[in-house]
Amino acid sequence: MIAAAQVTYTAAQAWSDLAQIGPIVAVTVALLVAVVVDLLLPRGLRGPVVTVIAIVGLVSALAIAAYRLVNGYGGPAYFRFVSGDAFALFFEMLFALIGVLAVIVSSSYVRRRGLYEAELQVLTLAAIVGMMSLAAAGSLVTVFLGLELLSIALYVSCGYNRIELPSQESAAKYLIIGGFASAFVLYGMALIYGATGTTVLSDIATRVTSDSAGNPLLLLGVLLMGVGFAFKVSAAPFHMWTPDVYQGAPLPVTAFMSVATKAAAFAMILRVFNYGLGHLGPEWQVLLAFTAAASMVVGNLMAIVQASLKRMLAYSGVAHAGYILVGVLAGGRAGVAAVLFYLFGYVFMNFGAFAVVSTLSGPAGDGDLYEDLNGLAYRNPTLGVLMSVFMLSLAGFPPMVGFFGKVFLFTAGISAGWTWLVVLAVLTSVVSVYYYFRVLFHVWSPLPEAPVRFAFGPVRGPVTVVLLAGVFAVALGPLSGFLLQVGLNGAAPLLSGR
Amino acid sequence: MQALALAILLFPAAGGIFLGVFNWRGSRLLTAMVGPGVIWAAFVCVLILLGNNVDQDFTYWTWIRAGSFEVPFDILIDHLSLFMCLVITGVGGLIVTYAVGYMEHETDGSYARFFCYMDVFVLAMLILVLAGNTVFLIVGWAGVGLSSYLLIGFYYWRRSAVIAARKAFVMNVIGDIGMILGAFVLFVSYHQVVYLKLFPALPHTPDATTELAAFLLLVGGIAKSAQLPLHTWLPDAMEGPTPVSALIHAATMVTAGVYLVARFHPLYDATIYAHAAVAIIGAVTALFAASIALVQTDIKRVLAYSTMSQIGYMFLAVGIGAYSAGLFHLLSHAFFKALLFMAAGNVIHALHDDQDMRHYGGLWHDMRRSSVTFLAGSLSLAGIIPFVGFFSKENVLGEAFSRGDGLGYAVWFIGFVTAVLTGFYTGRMWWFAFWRPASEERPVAGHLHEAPLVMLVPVAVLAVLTTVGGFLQIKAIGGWALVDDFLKPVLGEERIRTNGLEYLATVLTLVLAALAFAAAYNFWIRGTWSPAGWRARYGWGARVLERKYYFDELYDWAFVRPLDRLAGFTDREDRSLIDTGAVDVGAYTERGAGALSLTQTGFLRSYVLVFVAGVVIAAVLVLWRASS
Amino acid sequence: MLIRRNPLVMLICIELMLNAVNLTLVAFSRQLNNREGQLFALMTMTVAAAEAVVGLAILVDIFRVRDLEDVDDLSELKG
Repeated sequence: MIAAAQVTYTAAQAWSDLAQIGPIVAVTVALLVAVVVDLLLPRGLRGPVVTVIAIVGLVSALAIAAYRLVNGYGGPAYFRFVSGDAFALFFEMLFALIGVLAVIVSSSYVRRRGLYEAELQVLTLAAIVGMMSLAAAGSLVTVFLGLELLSIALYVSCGYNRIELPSQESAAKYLIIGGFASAFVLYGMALIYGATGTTVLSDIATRVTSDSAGNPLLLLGVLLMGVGFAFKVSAAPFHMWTPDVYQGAPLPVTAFMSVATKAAAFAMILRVFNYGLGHLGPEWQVLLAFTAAASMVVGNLMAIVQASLKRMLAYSGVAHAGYILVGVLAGGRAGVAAVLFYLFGYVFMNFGAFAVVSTLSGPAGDGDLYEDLNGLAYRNPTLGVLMSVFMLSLAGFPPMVGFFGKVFLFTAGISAGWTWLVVLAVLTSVVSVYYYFRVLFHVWSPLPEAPVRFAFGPVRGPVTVVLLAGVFAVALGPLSGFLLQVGLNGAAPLLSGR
Repeated sequence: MQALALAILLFPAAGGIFLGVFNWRGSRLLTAMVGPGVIWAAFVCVLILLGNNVDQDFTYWTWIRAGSFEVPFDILIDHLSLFMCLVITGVGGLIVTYAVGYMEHETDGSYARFFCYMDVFVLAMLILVLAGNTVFLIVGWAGVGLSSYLLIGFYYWRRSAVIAARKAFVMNVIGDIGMILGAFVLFVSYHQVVYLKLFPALPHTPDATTELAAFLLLVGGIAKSAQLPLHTWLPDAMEGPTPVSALIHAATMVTAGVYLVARFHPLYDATIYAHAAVAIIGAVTALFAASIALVQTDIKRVLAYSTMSQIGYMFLAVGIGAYSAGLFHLLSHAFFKALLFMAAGNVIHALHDDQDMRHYGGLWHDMRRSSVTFLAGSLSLAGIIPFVGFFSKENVLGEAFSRGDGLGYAVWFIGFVTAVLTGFYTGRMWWFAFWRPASEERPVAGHLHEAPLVMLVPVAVLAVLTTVGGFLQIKAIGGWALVDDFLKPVLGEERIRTNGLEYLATVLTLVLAALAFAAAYNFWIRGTWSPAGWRARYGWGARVLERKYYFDELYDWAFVRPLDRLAGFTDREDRSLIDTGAVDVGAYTERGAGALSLTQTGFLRSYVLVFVAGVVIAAVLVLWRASS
Repeated sequence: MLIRRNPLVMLICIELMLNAVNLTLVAFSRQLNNREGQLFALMTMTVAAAEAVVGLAILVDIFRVRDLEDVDDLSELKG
């Protein structure tokens, strides 16, 4: 394949390839410009300018992706190492959206906490490039590069608050365990390469048939990769890092990580397992079913006993990873579409919740205890109502998007024969209602007598984000039919290749 | 008309949003106007719809369309939903108006909060009855559970209120799961969620699918209507402010189960076991609750158990297929139970929130107006002619008796015994709390203040309705049957009485219930028989009743404790999975860092260790899968 | 890695794991007579270098604030 490259690679081909990864290019350009600008400008200007550049880059990526999706331009590029298909475009739009939200929230947050602004935005952009590459990956090499790009950027972001111990600890823990997991994924990839002689996913899909199930190299490869992937989506029992890292990292980073990393990791699982190794279904399904069940139980039970909102949301994230895995296991058009739908909805409800918490932080630190929410509905009715919307949505109450997401996931799960898992999922989501409602209770309790630990600073940015996320979370409920159609569209490329 | 149907929902919704968002520190007067006002506005909408004889399924837009999964947003206006709306907005409106007076001692913020919750509650209830498809029904169903949680926990600084709210919520969520699964079974089997398309698709002969769906829906109905064995939340729900209890009980929430069975009557008609189960659960609950009510001393709890008992009658009625008899009793119960709660509320209000009947007495003398209305309610509850309770209860029992099979006679007999017990405990309540001379323990010395006008007028309206409402349907004395006729388009024809034996049974019930009511006089006023003497003789019986057949203890032992342990809560006193914030969260978490949480040591190495352990488990699973 | 307590040594262990992968990749590449594996190995080396740099930087940052010789000292976040 590489030999062929020297012969046929023309300028026209180069342009078309570049267009296929248009959104990634846009973000990368913004990233590079931001780095240079950051060096050139005087200190006071750096932050705002870099933020603007980041937003421009992300919005143009969003526009490019939307344009290409609507016109159906998608196709493979760079000798099938990358793909610009509907699946990739769906995720590229999603990441660009999250990116915009994250950039706005962090801009306000770092100012209130007195941290440097520009570098955090650059790191966020780098992570987004990594995530987009993951979603667009057509080969194991691209998968690995995207994965590492996003992980390394996030390691640094977690330790961004350099002088605070929790932040440092969070970064160190994430780095060491993350590196450990990456090594697992990589070894799994090496073994798959050894067994099939290729790293291109579409070739793997044709070479790995149901007959190759007995091949020990493949089996071991699936096992090692599955473990690493489960780590990335923070599924139990590979979730231990999640609460610590989420708690220690600066809030916008946590918010970004909790939704974007998860979406990227699920994109990777769908690409590699559902598409590349689709014929080895029974083998990876047993692994993921185990982690899904463990995640739902562990995540929901642990979330109950937390006092910190960040940790609670971290465990709730573990539980949600379990639910989404049900859709991955179900596979097929319905399953993949349900996963895409859920990720889209989850992004807004979870990010929104974190964004609300981020408004509570001041120079003194992050206000992430339940008590810090007391009387929020009266201090700031908009935030209070929207926080309630996010919690109801996370808990899966109709008519929020979370409800429809669960309905689609579980319907797909049942029709694919994962009844026991769905029953477990329903039971554990009932448990989850407790801790989400605990938040509601604090939000709607009257103003505390004692002075509020964290008063509101200049939080217009986050409030905008929360509003945006809230509008999405509410509007997606009635629009779920449309979104599911988009998801079905995005799922198609994964299924046509077989 | 389409807009008007939607307006029924929009009025309370607007009221709830307004009070919740904009008026949390607004003027009291505005709150007092908006809170009940929106419900009366909805009532007017219902009346207009009724006047125009609307009977239609209004579809506003398609909510979700994904393959075969299509959910419209539709409101079903037919005689059944209009009937329920009349009860909810009419009686509900009276109750919210009454609350204007009752809640006057609250601070401004709480005042607005209360009416916001009330409006949301009414909204959820209206969604429940107006829903034209099962998905929308679930929305209302869950909404009712949520708003009742908020209302019961209204006094969130009272620990018991918070625990009671949580208990109600847990029970309701169990019911919700049943509902959702039931709707899911129906959808998977018949691919319809819209009632008007679903019901024709149902088979007419019993099969396993319909039985399963009917049983699952029944779980939802039982939980919401506080029937055995999911009933324990209702008495504890007395923690809320009085009008709340009245609203929750009488007008709306607990009748949702009855409505559900009536709404799904094509389904229940097609089943044998599930349908009989409705009747049996109803009958047993009626007797069970009436027996507990004999020994309670808290007046609201007596009323709570009598509610369970009367809902049991309604379940009994719809369970034997006498749907309109059940709904007539629902209407009648809405009148007299709201009346009883509100009259009792007047008394409690005057006695500074003391609810213990042992501290009462002398009320006939001091609070004549409230006492008279309470007497009307009591006689109606006991089933004395000519109050509404007589006609509706007779209707239910008559239908059971004239059914003429084993099930019919069995539930009739239980209902008959319950009627006698009802007469007795109602008599006890009346004589003991109102008639006898003032107790020395009465918390307020001297003369009591009668309630203000805003509280008396709704009570008086209900008292009138209780007295003359029975003449809507006087089948017992061979007259017309307006309720049956009204509901006939939805529920079908009622059976016609065949022989004179039922009339004999009716007279027997009436006489014995009246005698029991009178006998209570001998116990508590004349002292011919002494309650203490009976207690001494049958101490074990009294203990069982006072502990409510040990249901709380049973659930505690079977579910709560093991779950507590699982989540690492070993603290006995705190018998709950989460703490809703009534106590200091920080201190709580320190205690609650339980077994599972201990694995999260914070040590990096242990995380790696767990990771590796996970890898090993995964490896074993993959190898097992590959080799099999 | 499981039995080491020094964070630096743990980092080195991760690098060792990655090197093991590289060897595997190159060996497969040779056996299958296919250059993709070598390309993959080159990428891995680059990434491993970047990861090592970031890892060292984070650890140095921690060392600046406190004396850390045992990873178990990093246990402020737990529960």
